[in-house]
Amino acid sequence: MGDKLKRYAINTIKTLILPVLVIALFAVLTGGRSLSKRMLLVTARQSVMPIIISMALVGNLTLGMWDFSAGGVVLSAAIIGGNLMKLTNTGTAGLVVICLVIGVVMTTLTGFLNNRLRVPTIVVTVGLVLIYETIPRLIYPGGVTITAKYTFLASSPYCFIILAVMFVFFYLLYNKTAYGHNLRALGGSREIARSAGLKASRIIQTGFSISGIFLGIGAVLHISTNGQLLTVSALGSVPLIFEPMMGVFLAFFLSRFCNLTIALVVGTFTMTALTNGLVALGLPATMRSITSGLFLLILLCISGNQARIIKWREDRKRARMLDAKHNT
Amino acid sequence: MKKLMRSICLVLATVMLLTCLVGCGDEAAPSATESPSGFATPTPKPASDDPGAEGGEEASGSKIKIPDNLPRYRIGVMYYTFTDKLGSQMKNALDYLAGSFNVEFVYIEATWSSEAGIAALETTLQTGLDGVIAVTSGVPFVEACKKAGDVPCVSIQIEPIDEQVAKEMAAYDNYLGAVCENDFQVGANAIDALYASGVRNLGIVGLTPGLARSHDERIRGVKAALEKYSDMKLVAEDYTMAEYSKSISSFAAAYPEMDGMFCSQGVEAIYQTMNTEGLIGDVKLATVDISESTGDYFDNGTLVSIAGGQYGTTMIGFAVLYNYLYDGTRIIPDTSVTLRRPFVEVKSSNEYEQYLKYVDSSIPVYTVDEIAAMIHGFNPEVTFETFTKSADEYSLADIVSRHSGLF
Amino acid sequence: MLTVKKISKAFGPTRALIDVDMEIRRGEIRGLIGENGSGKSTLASIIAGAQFADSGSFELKGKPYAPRNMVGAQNHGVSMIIQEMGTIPGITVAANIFTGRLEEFTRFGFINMKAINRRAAELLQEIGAGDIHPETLINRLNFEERKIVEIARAMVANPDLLIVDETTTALAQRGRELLYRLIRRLHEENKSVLFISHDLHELMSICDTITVLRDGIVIDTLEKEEISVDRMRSLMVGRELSGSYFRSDYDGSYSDEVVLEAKRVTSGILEEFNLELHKGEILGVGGLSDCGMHELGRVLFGIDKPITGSVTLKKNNVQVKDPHVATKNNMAYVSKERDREAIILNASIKENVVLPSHRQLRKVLGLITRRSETNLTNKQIETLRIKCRNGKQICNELSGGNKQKVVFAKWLGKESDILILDCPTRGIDVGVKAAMYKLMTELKAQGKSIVMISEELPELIGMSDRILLLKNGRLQAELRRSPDISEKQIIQYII
Repeated sequence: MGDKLKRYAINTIKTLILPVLVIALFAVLTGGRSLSKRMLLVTARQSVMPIIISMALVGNLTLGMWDFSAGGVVLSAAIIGGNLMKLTNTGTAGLVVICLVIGVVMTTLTGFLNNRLRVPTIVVTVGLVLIYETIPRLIYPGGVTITAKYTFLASSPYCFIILAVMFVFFYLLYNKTAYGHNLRALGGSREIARSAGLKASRIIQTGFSISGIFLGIGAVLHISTNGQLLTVSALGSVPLIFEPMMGVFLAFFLSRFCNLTIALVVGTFTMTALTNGLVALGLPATMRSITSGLFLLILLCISGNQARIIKWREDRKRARMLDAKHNT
Repeated sequence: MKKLMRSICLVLATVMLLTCLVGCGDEAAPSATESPSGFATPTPKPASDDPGAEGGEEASGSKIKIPDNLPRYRIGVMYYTFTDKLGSQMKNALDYLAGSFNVEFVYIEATWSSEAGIAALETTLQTGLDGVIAVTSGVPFVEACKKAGDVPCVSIQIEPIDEQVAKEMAAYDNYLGAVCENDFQVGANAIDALYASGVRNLGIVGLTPGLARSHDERIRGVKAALEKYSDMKLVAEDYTMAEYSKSISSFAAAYPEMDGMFCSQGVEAIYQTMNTEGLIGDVKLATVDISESTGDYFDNGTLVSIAGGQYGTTMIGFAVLYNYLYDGTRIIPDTSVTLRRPFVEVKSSNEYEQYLKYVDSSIPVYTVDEIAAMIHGFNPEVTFETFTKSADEYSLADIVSRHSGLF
Repeated sequence: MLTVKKISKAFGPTRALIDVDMEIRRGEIRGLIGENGSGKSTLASIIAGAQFADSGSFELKGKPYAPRNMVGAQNHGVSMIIQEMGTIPGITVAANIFTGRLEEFTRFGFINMKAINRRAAELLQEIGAGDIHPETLINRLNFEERKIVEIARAMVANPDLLIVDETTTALAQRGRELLYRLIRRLHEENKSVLFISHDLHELMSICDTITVLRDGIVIDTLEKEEISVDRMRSLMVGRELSGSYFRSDYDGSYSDEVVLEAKRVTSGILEEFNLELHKGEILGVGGLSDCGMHELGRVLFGIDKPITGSVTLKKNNVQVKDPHVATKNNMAYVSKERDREAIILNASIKENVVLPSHRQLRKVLGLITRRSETNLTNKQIETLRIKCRNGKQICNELSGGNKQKVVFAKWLGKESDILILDCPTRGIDVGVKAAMYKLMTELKAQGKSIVMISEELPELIGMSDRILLLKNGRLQAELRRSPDISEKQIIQYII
């Protein structure tokens, strides 16, 4: 029991050390500006939407599939959902339901085409994102504007309640259902998983459809944050998924120390804290992008090569010891 | 089951293909097009009616007579998008003029990529245009018009990036000049308004530098004006495309002393974020581009100054072009010099009401007669000075005084 | 238990199985042997539901049996442990064992991990691997332990017929013992086992009966009393093969000239190891699987950099720092990890064979002609009797032993002077083993030098001029070639 507790404590420290370090670093660099309670709350709030979108992406990324249409789904669902909400006068509840339905319908289509077309997912989703961006432009070319009455879900504490609900949903799905386990098995080795009786196409389809739930909620938060959304074209929605994707990569790194669900929250929060810290530092946008990118690259390089670094150090130590023995 | 799946796939694939074609067709096409290639195609406008004048009437006793049987001109109008507020105002204003001047406007959406814009323009030029008004500048633009048969062209809202380019463009015969808003001045005026309202710790939120020259000029104006006030300081600034709300949230958290903000573009997200962050009442705002929330934020004391009405520039640009088309008059003598015009600046709820009535209504900021009065072929007295005088006078008060009899 | 009726299977023009008839009785341990490409694994995989037969039928326990997939076969009581690695990385031991069956532990949509872990622990305990924890991530286990997990997975459905497809080559002593215990237990429970192996002695000790396949046809089924190594060998190759197929001479002489020297080499468990390889010598290196001999092979060829010491080619006094230097100086290396390191599975036989020989094949202006590639490939196919359609066949389609032949062919084609062979005859049938040993003898006679790393003691004794025995990374003994060397003698040094 003692060992287990110790291991748990060490893993908790390893999980949390990154965001703590980032916050502490910027606290020092900004003379304490970035350490205020308000800043932490702002960072937490800004992390909510990327965390939820990252939950949509992580399932597919586990299978090595890049879904570039996720941003298009979020935007489409937000614009169409917002407009339909106004048309039907169903308020925030209507917004949530409509966005969810649109999200699931679109991602179900993505999954269906991904299974049937037999081309890499990246090809399918890049094609689909153009379509998903076009659909709201055809129906609602002016985008959508909703009044403050319906945008409260993006503010605290509502956004955190939403996050808590989605967190629990994702945790149960990924860790406590056969689907979650089968997903990881398929991601580990498709051939062996298939020969064990897993139906790859069914798992992939389920994964895409489920991701629509998260993207639908992401759409609700997106329109609630902005109040107004314009249609885009030519992959203009893709930037919506960059931050969540970075969060996923960081989460994969952190998942060695903790459950992936927690890693997603911590990872995305860390990236947001980094961005906000850079804003507080007064760094221009281009420098922020470079810094964030470098941060992620360095982190993933270290994590990916950690075993090699440790081995190299041990080898050096052993060589010194053997040389000393040989020379005496 | 397999057969059913195949049928579903076939139907879906067909739907996808059609959607692509229709959607892509929207990219560089004017509204309501059915171009199978997806490139811009003309949208014929009714030739003889005057479609724009709903509700209001033209001023009686106008001095300028527009001749009958005006020649038909086909003019390309290129802008980022005609579905946002400014774009739609621009389109409405030109549609309003189309019938009276017997002009068919062909609307070309440039999106936010200059390369895509030029490509769309070149394609549309092939369909035969008599003139071009475009939100673009630079030698490639005038070259494209020249190659299509020396098509005369006017830049609006964007001027040559520097003197050298201005001179190069001026060397082209078919280039008639640039008509732009005075972005520098609007930035400076915003700071004056913020200072007057008591702001001493300013935050700036803008577009990524280099992305839009107009925004860069606004920021330049802001910073120049800041130097006038020794007791007003810049506490935070951020220039990120489309991430205004994040910037504002971060400012609010990191700089609680901030009591005023200038945003180079008044997107709805700004208001939304200020609301979410609880900045209403604590932080004053000055921005550009009037939107639906403008009235509310004047009412709650957040807005101190907002600028808009830029579509007037487009109408002047049309006048410059039409002068040339009708009788060869080059109204701007030295095309290397930009004709600058002010924004319509609104500073209170009352002024906003007036803005809605006189600027954002069925009668645009210039009536048919007022534009006709700027055409040398109809009014031999018109000169470049006429234009500059009209520009100097242009303001909300000016519009109200000119059009009060129309409502 | 199982009746196989006229099963046939073809892969293109290659007929893998031709009208195979076989009956396995309840409680019988049936061995299945044959040369590489004889159809053993094909038959096994068809029975286990991994692929379909072209014609023929099965009866299992008196009822028609036609599994659609491996899970279907398992549900009918037929499980298989495959030759290659069959665990899924990134998930736990328990999840690996129960992949595809998690729904059995699901209630209201949620799985009961405790129950899965508990059942997995019970299973592992039952097969004698109770030290493997079900919650351990599979990546943390070594190769043998993962194979044991596969065995546990095969036992999940409590099969009536267990197929073991050349699994023991991947297992060390512990794993083999575990498997043998399991087989004996199944036998006691009146269940059946189909055991495929190249190790004839192993087959003799385990099996009740042995079926011999050759070229897709059942040649004979030997009852216990008829089984002998010579009999099996001759049935497999279709000719009498008596006596040993190793070197017949006991002249362990070689030149004094040292061609390759390793001084104070340390890598992994290997510690400050010294080695001198002479011209015309077959230097055997043996020990238990983890004694450091495989690390030695990698260091000699420059794949792994030693922590201390160096490896030097004495002719040009060149230090072997990486495989590029090694191949440039006419060294060759046959890795133990064939599929991962020694052969490009998705490439053709020709592409694999000519790969290290481009420099030799270059003509005018550095161009390589198709004819020269084809000639080289065909020569190697003939020399090593590689069973294939032609040189264009993709290596993935070859049987395990034929893949190993392609690996060998690659280096023979290059006419390398120094060959580092790590378990060169693993998974190779007796007929080709004999041919390979003959080849090694010829290479020795040509003055080539060979380091032969092997876990098979008879092979070491039968082929080496000198044997270096390792234990825990250090040299324990050096034995010179002699008819008096016995396995018993060697074992006392290595264990």
